[in-house]
Amino acid sequence: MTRLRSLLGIAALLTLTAQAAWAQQRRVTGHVVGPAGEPIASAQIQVEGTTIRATAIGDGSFAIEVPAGAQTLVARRLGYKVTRATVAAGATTVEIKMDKDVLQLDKMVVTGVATTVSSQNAANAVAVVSAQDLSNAPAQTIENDLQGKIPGAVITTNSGAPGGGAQVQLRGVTSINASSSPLYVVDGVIVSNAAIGSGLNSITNAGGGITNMQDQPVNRIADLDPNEIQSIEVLKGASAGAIYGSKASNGVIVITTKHGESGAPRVNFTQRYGQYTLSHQLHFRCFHSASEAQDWWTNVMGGGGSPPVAWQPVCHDFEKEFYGGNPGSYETDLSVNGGSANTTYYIGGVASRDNAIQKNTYYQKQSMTANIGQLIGSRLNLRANNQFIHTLTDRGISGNDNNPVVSPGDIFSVTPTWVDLGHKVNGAYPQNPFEGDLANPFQDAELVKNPEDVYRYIGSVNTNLSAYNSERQTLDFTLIAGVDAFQYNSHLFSPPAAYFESADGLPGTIVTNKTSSTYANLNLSGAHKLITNRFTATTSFGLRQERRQSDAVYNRGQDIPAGVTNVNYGVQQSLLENQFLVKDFAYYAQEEFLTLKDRLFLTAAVNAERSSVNGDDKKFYIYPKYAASYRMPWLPKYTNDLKIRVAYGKAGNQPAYGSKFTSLPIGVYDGNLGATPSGTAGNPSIKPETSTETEAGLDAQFFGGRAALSATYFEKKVSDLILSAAVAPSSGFTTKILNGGAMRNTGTEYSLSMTPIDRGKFSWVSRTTFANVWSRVTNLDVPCFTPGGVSFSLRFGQPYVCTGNSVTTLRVYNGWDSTFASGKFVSRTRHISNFESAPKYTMGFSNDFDYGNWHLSSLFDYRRGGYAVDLTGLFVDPTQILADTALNNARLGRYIQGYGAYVEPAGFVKLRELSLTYTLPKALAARLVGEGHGLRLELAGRNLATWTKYKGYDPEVSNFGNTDLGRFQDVAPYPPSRSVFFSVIANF
Amino acid sequence: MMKKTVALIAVLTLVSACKDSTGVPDLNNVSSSLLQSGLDRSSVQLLTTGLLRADRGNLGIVFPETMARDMYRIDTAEPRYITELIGGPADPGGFAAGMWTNFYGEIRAANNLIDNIGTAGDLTSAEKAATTGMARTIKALAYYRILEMRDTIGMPIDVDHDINAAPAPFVCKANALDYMIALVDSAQTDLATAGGTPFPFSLPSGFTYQGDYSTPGTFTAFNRGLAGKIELYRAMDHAHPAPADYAKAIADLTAGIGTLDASALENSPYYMYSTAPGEATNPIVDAAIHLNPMAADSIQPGDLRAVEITKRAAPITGQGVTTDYDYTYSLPSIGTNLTRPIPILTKAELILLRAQAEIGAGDLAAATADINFIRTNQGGLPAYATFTDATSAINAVLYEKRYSLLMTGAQRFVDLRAYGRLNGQYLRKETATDIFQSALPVPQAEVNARGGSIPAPTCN
Repeated sequence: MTRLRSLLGIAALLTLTAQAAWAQQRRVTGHVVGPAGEPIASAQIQVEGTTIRATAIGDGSFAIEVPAGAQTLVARRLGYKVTRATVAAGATTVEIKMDKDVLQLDKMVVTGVATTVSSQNAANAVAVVSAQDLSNAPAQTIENDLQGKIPGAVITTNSGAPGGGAQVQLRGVTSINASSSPLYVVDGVIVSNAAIGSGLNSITNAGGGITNMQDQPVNRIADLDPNEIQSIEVLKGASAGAIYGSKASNGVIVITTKHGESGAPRVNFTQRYGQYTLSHQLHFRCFHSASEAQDWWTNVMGGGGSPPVAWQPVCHDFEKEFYGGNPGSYETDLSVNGGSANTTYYIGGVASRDNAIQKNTYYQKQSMTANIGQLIGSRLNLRANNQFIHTLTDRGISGNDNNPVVSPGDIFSVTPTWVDLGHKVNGAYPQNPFEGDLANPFQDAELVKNPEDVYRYIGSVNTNLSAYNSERQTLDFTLIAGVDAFQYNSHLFSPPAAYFESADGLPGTIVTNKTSSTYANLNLSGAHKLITNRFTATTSFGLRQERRQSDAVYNRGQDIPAGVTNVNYGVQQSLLENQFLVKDFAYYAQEEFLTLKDRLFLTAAVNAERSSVNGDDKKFYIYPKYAASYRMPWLPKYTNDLKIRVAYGKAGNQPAYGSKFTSLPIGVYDGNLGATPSGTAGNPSIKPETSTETEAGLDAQFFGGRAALSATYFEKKVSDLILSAAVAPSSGFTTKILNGGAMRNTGTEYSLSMTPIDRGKFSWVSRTTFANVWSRVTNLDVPCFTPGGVSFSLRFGQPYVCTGNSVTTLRVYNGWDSTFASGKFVSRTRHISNFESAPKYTMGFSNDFDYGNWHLSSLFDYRRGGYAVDLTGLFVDPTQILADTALNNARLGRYIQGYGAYVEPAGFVKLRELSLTYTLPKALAARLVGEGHGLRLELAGRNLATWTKYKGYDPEVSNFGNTDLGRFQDVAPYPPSRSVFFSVIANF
Repeated sequence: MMKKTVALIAVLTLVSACKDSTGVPDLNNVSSSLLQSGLDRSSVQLLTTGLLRADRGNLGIVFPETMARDMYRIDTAEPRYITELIGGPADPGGFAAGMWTNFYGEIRAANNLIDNIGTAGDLTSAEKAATTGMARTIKALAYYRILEMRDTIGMPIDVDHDINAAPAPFVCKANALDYMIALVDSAQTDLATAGGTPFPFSLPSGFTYQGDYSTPGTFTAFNRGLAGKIELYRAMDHAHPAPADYAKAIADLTAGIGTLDASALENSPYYMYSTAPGEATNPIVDAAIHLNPMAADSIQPGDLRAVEITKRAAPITGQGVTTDYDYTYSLPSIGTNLTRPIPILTKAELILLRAQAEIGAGDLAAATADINFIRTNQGGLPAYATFTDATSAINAVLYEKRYSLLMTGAQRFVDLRAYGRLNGQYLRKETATDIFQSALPVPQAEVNARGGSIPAPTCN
């Protein structure tokens, strides 16, 4: 604390003594305008070689104090190229004309809590996605919005269920048993991406317990509203994210919400209407005659007598009936922003409801954002960011089920299409005699409710104090206090009337889950900038304190009377509470040095962090970072800029909460509590995984900025991998937690942006990205193993961690050799094959065409290679229920012969986004919404088409939710959908 | 002014925030740091109940009773209950390698108590002795149950070490039995030291359910009974027979039995079950459990113990076995079954164990008397005349044990093996691949932790 106090003391002292001692300056006023002479608000104007800056207001005008003599003003504005204008000695007015930066080559990239650098100088391949690129086609969650846009990010949804559930993997899988999620930071606040199960397992019994990782949960970053985001910056690994210390190993996603720009109030109103439709069907078989039905019943199903429902000359398309019945979706988005010279505000709100394809499943979101900025005096800048979010979703039942059979996909796999499940008889859906528990998904969809209700607040107060300010130097202090707090309430209600409920002898199930989560952080930093004619040196330093806590309480009541919705009335009651509390504290310091006429940029930084989850909670772990970039002064022909860059950094991945404890779980025996040692031996000296990343690359611009190429090579080494390793059970334990492995990922990333056509009314902007990752486990202190709980069987395909393999290896039995001696069977040896679940490479193709008032935008997402385990196939094959019975037979035949028939190629090409926008002519817009206002009409689709060899519903699948290993297990998931929205967008 | 205020607020916030300690305790469980910080009366209660709860949870009936041909578990989703147990050989990587890991967890629970009881400042030395006497007896029971299922494979004994220590070596059956007898005898010494002092914790009601085992003095009867049981099987060990132990077994069993009392035959500590939240229900209430027809058909006419056998309306078939019989107390349809207590070591068992020891010692008259005591009182059957040959006596004692102890543990499995009857000469082949498996394999994880193989232990 002493350090902190003296730091603040210095700040106060400097503030009081600082005097602006600039001699002989003059006031220059000016205008910033675009190519067509339109005013550009919010452009940043700086006198080159000094710290003097000003901001253009709504009409593009600005005033700045300029030192004597001829000076150069530099204007910066997102979406425009950096522009320099000379002010002659004695001149007091200037006009700065900025050209559009179509490829967005000039962006400010965040390098620390309070520091940024122009992307021209950035030493990392940092991907920045702006609001404009995010919003091409409406998406439910930001992960959907990012798919296909960031080279090196593999973003995969877990199922088609509404409301989210997606995993972001940056530069490959970088952990085995520790966290798999990148770190999400919203306006300086570390936010939760927890996946909270609703207790669906209490119905499906997919795994053990009230809740289970097979609950098909949403990871809660889904709560963020894409509409309120200004930009997303993706730091893909340690070399860029070292400043975030022991949570940055999986990369950092820095999200900035929208802020107001000074000027008259500007209102943005968007109204969307749309529809979700099933985008892929397995196609169930039609039975054309009674004899075909009888043959199926007798020979395929092994049933006696005749089928329990006599064959009818009808063929119900269960998929269309069940996944096609919801009305349209809407989204209303309203925002206003503006402000005076000292005050800016952005107030936004959204209300949306996505009615998904499965009956009675939906995703509803309301959010309000109020971001206010206030300049107090000339030195104190306050910013308050507030987001209130409410999401409500019901994702229905899907995924793995054991007993009873309740997953719709599972039920359809045993039900012939001549049975009418989807129409009520005497007011009730019929029982399904083809399924042992008589389950009918149509009844379940009507009776079983699983609403997950989240109220969330993400807010921060950002106080920036300009402590000292001279022509050459500035010293700023920033204090960010932020919180991400949410309350998650789920109320799973399955009444005794649901046919499957009788199966366990306890008809009726209610599970409530109340989870409260609070992430709070406090960030105090200082930044000193020294600008001379030869160099700019930025020194920043600070400390960060975080507290993350969560408490989940589940109540389950089983065997409930009809008509009761209170968990209290369950005859059999169960309880579960799960808590965590993590306290982190970090110091950091960073020096950035820009010299040689802004050509050479050097960075050195260090973060020292301790955390309560580490074995030694007082020890500071050190995460350094070094980076350099150099813009070549001699350029080949047609080249406008060429930068080479190299960066090195270290980051960590924290042990899970509780890893250091050997617990004594409590149970009840005859009214007394008893504690028995857990089977897992905690490790009192557990430490974070350490990831060391080196990346090198070059960024080039050609043809006057008409084309840009970025190429990056990286090597990511992770050591001290946290493992749950098997031990001799005679020790009284089954597993112990240790730091005991190392792995390496190498890869390349390319992006090529072009404006092949840009003439008057017609322009075409094209972006292509490519990324690959090559992974190896380089060391294991324990024998090779299959991670527990995230797969089913080696017969189907399981993850397998072994030195020399890729960490995402998928292992499966694949055929056998039988030994015979004189015609008699002696023995059998199974073969094992290794597949790779991660894609070989990924590519994104985005194209934007403008013709007059028309805008056409498309995004293709291509994933090459990778295998998934299609166990949905193992549901439909033995019952020969697909229209393509040849596929059923071929696959099952191979499986029976011992082959890994359900490991299927999971590469794909998806048309992620396609949108067509028409901007009404100014005159017409003026007549409709008023002078100077704009009106756009947009027709946009998401996931409109998929091309894949995969035989299941969607190669983007994960029965076990977000998990590094064991992804891509496909068990009767919620099928994928495509969405089409029509939107009216008005600005006034 | 404003700036100072802001700075002040910032400092105050940070100071108050930084005041937090750097550590966070285990919020979800009792942490084993409890053991390092020293025990007290309440933590001794917690650990004792935990030990007894683990002991209840570890009771294994289905595996040994299937292997002893008393029952089948026919589950279409899990054929291994048949294919691994009465087919075989069992897969060390599969579930049939059970009845190992949890027992060692129970032994660790007992060691936590035994190793740390000295730190309990608010317990008298007599109370500490009472606690270790209880814990060592239950620990000996856990060791014995491991050996019941592994027999001549041997087992690790010296396991009370740090998690990172090398796995404890396997010791041979004879040495393991030596260790257990020494352990149960040391427990007796502890209980004697405690004298009239009560246990410093409350016990589950199973210790007074039938008979009283709830004080160090009365619990000693259970301790002696267990000692006698282990001594009997050490005496009968094929590789290292110790005939002198028959007399010791008779003495200890007699101490456990006390006076012969027909109304006290079911006296024993019991495992108690309940449907209350967090509690466990009777583990053999299971619609998939059925009686092996060999068990059901062999019962003699008029035997009162036939109430345990329920004839099915229709036979049930699965995995190649068929039966007409259910075990009455496994039927979910009988509401009281879920909370029916299960005995650990009844006086009836002790009397029959004594009969076995008497047969071993050559005292057939005493053996006949003991056998008849159970036969007439529990079976309601006519008494035998004094046996003149050991084999007839053995046949008789095995019959009484089968029906007096049906579905309570590994008694019959152990006896069939000890008397050399776990083979095709005495038993029918249950499945085509039935190899009359006499022990479960050592779990794969245990083998892996020892470099992939376990050398056969030699006795010393």
